[in-house]
Amino acid sequence: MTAARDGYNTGYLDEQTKRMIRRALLKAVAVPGFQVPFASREVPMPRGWGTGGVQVTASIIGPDDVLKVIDQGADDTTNAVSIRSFFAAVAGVRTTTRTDEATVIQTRHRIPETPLAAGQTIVYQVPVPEPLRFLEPRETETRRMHALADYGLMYVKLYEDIARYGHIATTYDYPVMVNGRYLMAPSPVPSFDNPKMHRSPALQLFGAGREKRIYAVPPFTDVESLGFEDHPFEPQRFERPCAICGSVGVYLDEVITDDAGGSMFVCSDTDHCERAVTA
Amino acid sequence: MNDAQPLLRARGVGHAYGDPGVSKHSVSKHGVSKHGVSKRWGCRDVDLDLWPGEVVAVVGESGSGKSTLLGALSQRLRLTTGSVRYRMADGTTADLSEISEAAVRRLWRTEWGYVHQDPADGLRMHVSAGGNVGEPLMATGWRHYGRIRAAAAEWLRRVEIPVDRIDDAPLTFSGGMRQRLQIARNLVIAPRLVFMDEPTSGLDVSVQARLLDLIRSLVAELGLAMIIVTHDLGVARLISHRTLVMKDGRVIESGLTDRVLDDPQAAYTQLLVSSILPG
Repeated sequence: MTAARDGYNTGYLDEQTKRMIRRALLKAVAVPGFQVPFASREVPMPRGWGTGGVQVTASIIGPDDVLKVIDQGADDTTNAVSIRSFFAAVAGVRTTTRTDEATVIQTRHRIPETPLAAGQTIVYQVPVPEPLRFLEPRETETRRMHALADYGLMYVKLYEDIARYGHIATTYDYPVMVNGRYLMAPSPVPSFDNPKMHRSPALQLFGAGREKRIYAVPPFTDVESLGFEDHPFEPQRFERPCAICGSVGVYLDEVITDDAGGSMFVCSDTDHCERAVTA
Repeated sequence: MNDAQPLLRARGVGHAYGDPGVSKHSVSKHGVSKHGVSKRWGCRDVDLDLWPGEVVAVVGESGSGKSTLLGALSQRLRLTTGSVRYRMADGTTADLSEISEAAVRRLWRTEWGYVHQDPADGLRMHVSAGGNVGEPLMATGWRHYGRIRAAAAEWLRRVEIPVDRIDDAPLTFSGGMRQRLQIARNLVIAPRLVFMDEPTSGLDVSVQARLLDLIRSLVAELGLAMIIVTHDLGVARLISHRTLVMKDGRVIESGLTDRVLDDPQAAYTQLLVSSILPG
């Protein structure tokens, strides 16, 4: 462990801010799926690049934590690398790319293939926290709909999908019902990852910096993906194995390999892929 | 069912625009508050009993308070004075200004319909016709796509919209079709009470006639109670049992429609009746 960089408070944010965010987090954990407003701060990256996740991570991270950051499942993309080195510098924490060694995992778009364990915390970067936003633009109205659990409108979206495509064509940010009460946007994770949220032993925290909302799913909480009786929720499926490690039943990215249209499908979770190759 | 009681009983109903609501500033008799902001009464001192299966027309010139009265009775506008009591499906009677917002919304979902003058206000213009008709069903807990779609198709047939337009958005519909779609969306939940605000204005005469014919047959078939606002005495004559005539926010005459139109008592009603253009 290295000491935090001189001149910076641990985790970059000042103590009052971290306290404010922790209060929002406690409320969010107490009311699973409910969007808690918070006073989002400036952090040294543009809004929309994961400032919500960074603020949540900054507020919960301590000297004994081990941080993993992924972007689209990969540990080696620009955003993942810079957020990891940011916290190494300002919080003095140890970082890792191994899912099983991390205590805090900040993510955009993916939940790692390695099942999360009790004691781990996963922090999602959320662009649009309101699942009803594209159906009902008024915030006053969506809040009222949440308050009254008036969620018929969400099913209209799914109905339209089936009417148009013959199946529910929503493949990411697939709406979920948390603890049987609040409708929640699971951030843009693929619907492939939705089942991993259900009764996960890990604590799941969601931060939307630009939209100034925090919400949470405590460990072992029901997270049910919406669906119709005759068109139930179906996570995405991949027919082929990973071209590098041969894993099946994992989420694959298409990687273009040449200018002639050639491509290969490989694990989006780089940590999983590396370990599967060496195993 | 106890039909010895009206479905809706309004007493002294009034709504004032520019009303500070639950403020401390009392309002003087002249409609001027202590702060000098004048309140404008949209309607006042309206008494009305609506019986199950009865159709009441509210007629009057533009600005006479018809739509305000409809808004106040249907709880879309807050009552400034008076009370509205409604007999629920379970037989209990409630004062609408005293029940919770959630309960009012439940009434809208299960027992009431509201047909707007402009179908764009009552429809989701970018959602397919089937989705528009299915939404109230989904809001009341229907979760079977096939059944929702079958119910929507059945209602399109009843309002004479070709069933092969079920996946088209109302944006692509003509004015008459939009209005029929709005009616289908309201009637699909089998409401007990429907509010209609000038449902036929803005449509050309032949379309108006067919729409009125449709409304009349549906009302008779389903035994609906209805309050219909119109400036067109012909509409009142065709579908209503009783008529209220409004002027300057007050009801100046009321009675059986044929009596009011054939033997108008109030000078203003006489003027109104005599200004019908000879057909």
